[in-house]
Amino acid sequence: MNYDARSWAVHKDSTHPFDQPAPYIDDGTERPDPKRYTSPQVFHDEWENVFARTWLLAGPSSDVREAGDWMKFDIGVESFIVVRNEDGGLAAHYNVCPHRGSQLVTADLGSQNSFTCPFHSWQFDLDGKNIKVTDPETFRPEVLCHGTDLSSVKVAEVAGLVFICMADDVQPIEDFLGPVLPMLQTYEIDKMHVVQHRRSDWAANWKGGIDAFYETYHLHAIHPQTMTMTNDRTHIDLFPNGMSRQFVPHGEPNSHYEDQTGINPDIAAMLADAGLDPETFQGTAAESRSAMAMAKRDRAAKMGLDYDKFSDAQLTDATIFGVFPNVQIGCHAEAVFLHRFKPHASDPEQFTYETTILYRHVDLPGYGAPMWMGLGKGVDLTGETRPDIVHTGLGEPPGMGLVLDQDSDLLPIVQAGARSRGFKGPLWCEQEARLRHFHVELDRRLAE
Amino acid sequence: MNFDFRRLWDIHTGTPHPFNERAPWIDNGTARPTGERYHGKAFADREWEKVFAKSWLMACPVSDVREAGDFAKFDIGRESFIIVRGDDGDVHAHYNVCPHRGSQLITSDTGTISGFTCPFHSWKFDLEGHNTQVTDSETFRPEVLCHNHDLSSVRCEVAAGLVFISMDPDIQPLKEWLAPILPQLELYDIDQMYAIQHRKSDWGSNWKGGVDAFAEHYHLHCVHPQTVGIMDDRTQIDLYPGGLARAFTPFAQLSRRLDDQDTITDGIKMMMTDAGIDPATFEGTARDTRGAIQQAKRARSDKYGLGYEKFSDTQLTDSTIFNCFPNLQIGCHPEAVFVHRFIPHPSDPNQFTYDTMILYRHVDAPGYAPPAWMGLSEEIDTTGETRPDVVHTGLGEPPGLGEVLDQDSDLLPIVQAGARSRGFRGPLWSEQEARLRHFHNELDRRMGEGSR
Repeated sequence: MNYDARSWAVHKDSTHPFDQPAPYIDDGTERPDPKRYTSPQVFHDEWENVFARTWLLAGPSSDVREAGDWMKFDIGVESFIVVRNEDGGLAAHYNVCPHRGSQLVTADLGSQNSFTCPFHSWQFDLDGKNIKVTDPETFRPEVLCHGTDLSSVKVAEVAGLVFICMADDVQPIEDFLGPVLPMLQTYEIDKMHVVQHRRSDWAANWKGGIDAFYETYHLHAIHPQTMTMTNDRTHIDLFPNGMSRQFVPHGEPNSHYEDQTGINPDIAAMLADAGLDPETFQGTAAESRSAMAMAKRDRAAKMGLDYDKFSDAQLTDATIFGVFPNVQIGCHAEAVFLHRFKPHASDPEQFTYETTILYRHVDLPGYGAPMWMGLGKGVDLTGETRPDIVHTGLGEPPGMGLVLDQDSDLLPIVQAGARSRGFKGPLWCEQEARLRHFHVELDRRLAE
Repeated sequence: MNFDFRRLWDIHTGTPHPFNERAPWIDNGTARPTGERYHGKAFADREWEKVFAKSWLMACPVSDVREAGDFAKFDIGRESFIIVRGDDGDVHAHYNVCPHRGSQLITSDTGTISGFTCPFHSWKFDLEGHNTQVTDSETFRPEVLCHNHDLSSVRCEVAAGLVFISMDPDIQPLKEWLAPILPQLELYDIDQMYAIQHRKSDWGSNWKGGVDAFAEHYHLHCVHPQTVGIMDDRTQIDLYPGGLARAFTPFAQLSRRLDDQDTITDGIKMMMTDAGIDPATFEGTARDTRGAIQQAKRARSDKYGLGYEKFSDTQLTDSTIFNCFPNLQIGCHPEAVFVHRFIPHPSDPNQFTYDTMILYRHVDAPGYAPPAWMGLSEEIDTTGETRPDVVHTGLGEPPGLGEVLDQDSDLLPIVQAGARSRGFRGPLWSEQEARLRHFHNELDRRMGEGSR
């Protein structure tokens, strides 16, 4: 068979440099042991060799813009405080008082000049230095000699995103992100702000979440309602360090959808959203995507927005980046979606799915979030109010919209099967190349 | 500054009394133990074998097993025990386990029974644990029944009105271990007291996080700010061999952290009224209230023969607290004692059950009642005629134990979450926390001991 997934015409006739394919990486054809989804030992090794030694996305820069602004970043057994200090730099500390271990902050976000422990009122400045030991005369000097400052970790800010790392000897964030970094920078995430933020606990291994979000192969089966307007024909690029990219074409029917020409109601709505009149649109459903790209480009030109940096595919599609180990970022000219898959503190068969929508506010008539993003009327798009994080527990419907609710229903079923002795390990197609690339990188680091 | 961290503060007022004398100083050093003890699974498993399986554990007050057939169930970690007064007049303790197939024999917390019948196949046992019935014994091959089919029993001894058990048959006698504090505990006549409130609450923390929080006053100003108007956090700490310790919590005295040391707060006025002093006509300031209450209580004792001569003035107002290794704290007052136990979870080092019991002695004298600060509701029967049920709240439920304990239960999971972090290098204990270091040193000593 001479089928080549790279032949799919996602970027038909495109000459834009952003659309250029990355050099092919051969990740082989092996079938990995499924114990990676269930084993406490693997879970422990992943934590020590991967999470504790890798840059982890802590949150968007917009949550820590001013001196004293901080965000709490929880992952696995750990909790961190990321804070903007007086010099305009960032600091990241374990959310742990050195006295007896109490966490210092319990809210998700805040702004303050210093941190006071809720247990015995020890105080620390934004850089983590101790500024008050309550009743220091009641300590033997040798005890305080052990050190009374907060324990800090490495922090880096790139492309409007903040990363932390628990290991000191980690490669620079720029090297780690590699080719993905300039691509992310196209979106000017530093000028965006959070308009929706949700967390939901799911009964699956965190990699079950990665796996599901890293491929469009399941769209026709799990999310049949998307078949009218989202194609599963994709373009996949693999980069060093487990990074990857893929495009999800919006505004054209799924390859498994019967009617590939008629303008169905969903595509009609997308056309209207892009400023085209579906009643007078002359093309077929196969042509609606490029028409929408042109319409958006025209509209941007009138508004004075620089869309030349974007390829047509970037204007219509979800341009998705996989950032090792546990992040996927879905990019659009107007907004980006941060998806994080956070391992549980102790149970390999649970994770927390966290999704953050960052939006770039442009104060011009006719500019807004695309309708399909589902940002309701109640959402403040201006960035003046930072919405609270809504957290739903295990078994609760996450209330994140139909597509994500379908994923949250299915993932525990996949997990249940994946822990069977009858499951011999996954068989990945080339539509799932990003999964294999991710797992190969994971295995490489586990073996280090 | 001439503050002496070895001695802390001189908290005693009134007449000098031998009870108040300091124990010889024990130097527990300044080391910083690792945080692993609070969350490590292997540590918890070893702790169970080396500490809990080899220590005296307080099981119940003797008032729960006064008459033959009275029993109390004592659950701790993965084990359950039946404490029972035998027909022989002694208190016995058995594993709550039928030798036939292992079923637990009783499921209620307390009760009275003439013998035990297993709910599975109706095997029967007398109060001393001897088998009295094997159902259909003819269907057993004799060799099977030759294996012992009595209940398995454990060491059980009584001191100061409290019943202790030990899974270690070779453990030193209870009174020998408790000796340094036993005469002090005996002053309170706990054997004449009975439970008037008993609650259990599951908390998201290691059991030692509970021991730690209850063994120091350093956190009062921060976690329980409402207490600064009724109690001081200056304390005297005494350490004794065997992981035993003592401390005092001065009541009816303002916290040293308040600027205004004169104005009498509503909380202190309530304590004055309890003691029979009219706050409206009281001439002194808040600096004098603790001493005045001590004198008023002593006068009432003299009048009604309450026998307070044996107590120091400090004991009349303050909470006199005893720590018994590993997991017991007893807060003593002339009227009542508060028994706090920190019960490890069967398997999860990140959980424990907090068990608290108020033991009270009814005295039929005018004006005599539990002090109002104890927060006992009107409905509580203080006569001892009805033993209250144990109320158990689960993980994450508000324990409903009053403001102070609810604050502790809110905070402890936050402390635990931080203590689990790789960023936590281990605790830094002040001498205000000397009881914690003493406890952990004893724990480490026992953990380090070879198997006997």
